[in-house]
Amino acid sequence: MSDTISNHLRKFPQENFLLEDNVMHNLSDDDNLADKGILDSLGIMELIQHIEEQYGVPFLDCDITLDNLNSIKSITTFIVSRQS
Amino acid sequence: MKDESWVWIFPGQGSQEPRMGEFFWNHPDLQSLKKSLLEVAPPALDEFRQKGPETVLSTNLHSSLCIYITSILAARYLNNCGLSPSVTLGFSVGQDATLVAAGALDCSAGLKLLVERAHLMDRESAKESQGMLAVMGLPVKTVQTILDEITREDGRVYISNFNASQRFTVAGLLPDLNLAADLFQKARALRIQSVATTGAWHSPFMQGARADFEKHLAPIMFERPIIPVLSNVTGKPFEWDHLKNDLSLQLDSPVLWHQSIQWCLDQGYRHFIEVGHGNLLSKMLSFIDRKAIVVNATSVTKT
Repeated sequence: MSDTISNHLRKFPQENFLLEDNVMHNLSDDDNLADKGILDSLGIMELIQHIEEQYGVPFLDCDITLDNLNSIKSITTFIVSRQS
Repeated sequence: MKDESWVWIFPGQGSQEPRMGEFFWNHPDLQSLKKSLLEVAPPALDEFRQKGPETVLSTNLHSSLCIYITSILAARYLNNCGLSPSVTLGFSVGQDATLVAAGALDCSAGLKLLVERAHLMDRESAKESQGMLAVMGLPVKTVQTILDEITREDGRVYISNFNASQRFTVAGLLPDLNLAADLFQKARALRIQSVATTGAWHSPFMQGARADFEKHLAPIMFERPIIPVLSNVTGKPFEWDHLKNDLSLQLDSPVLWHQSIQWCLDQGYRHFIEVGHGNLLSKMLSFIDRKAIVVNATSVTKT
């Protein structure tokens, strides 16, 4: 299930933000999304809304942290932990 | 769209970009209003809006005026669609447009005030290398503790915007902002981004501007609005007796945006229209209440 979620998460920035073609392809699941220029502060909000709608996982204020939103892997881990 | 209890929200700096607001600036029903505003604006403002360069468009003066005129045209467009606001609030420079939309201030007078405001702010920011930084994902207590630490080291950085829960903008001198960025990072902030402004707006660095702005405000005649117009300084509706005081205080006081939106939500308002260019405020609002309904004025049509 984690793989499905992380693959899906990878598509979201590519389809919704103005990114160069290979940015997501070259991204590892551990890469920091801010350092790679993929998610700025407004992009984070769009991603959070998408996750809430897609997975039914609510983000509380206290969930919007670096630990939960740092990378594809950390976001996937958060979603899976809330679903279980 | 039915005219019900809609809160009109007016954007501030950060929303400017070349060709901003084309829908309103080119709308046939708004040409007379646009012409009257451009007559009291600096020369070639519309050319800068259309073609840039971005270095000019992003100056305090030009960005303020393009944002203001776009909002005034958008508000008239909504009026033409049969809508009127139940509450208005504006972010920073957007606050002038709220007073116009609420019928408290003539739109040409509002524009002239903004010209003076921009000149005074630029004068203060030219004294030292200033800037602003957005920080996300830290509680206010942590942010303030870090700023206090900088103060103890003889630095000066202040919270200048309360944007949403765990979202702030801080303002200060550039070396102190660099230190703040390092400390925010160590505290594990989710995002730290420099803000494209030329000064430390809404902080004590603007005290000199506030004093002179009071003089410009003194002769301006305001009509008492019949709807609530929210003050950036208090996050609540302007108290009529304090209107001019709040308008001048706004220059060197933080923008209590989060508190303003919360006031609207506490009153039961759930529908917001972003009256101007872009959707920055809409996105910011979703950090405060993701169930709130927010649309841009361009999506409104005559019924």
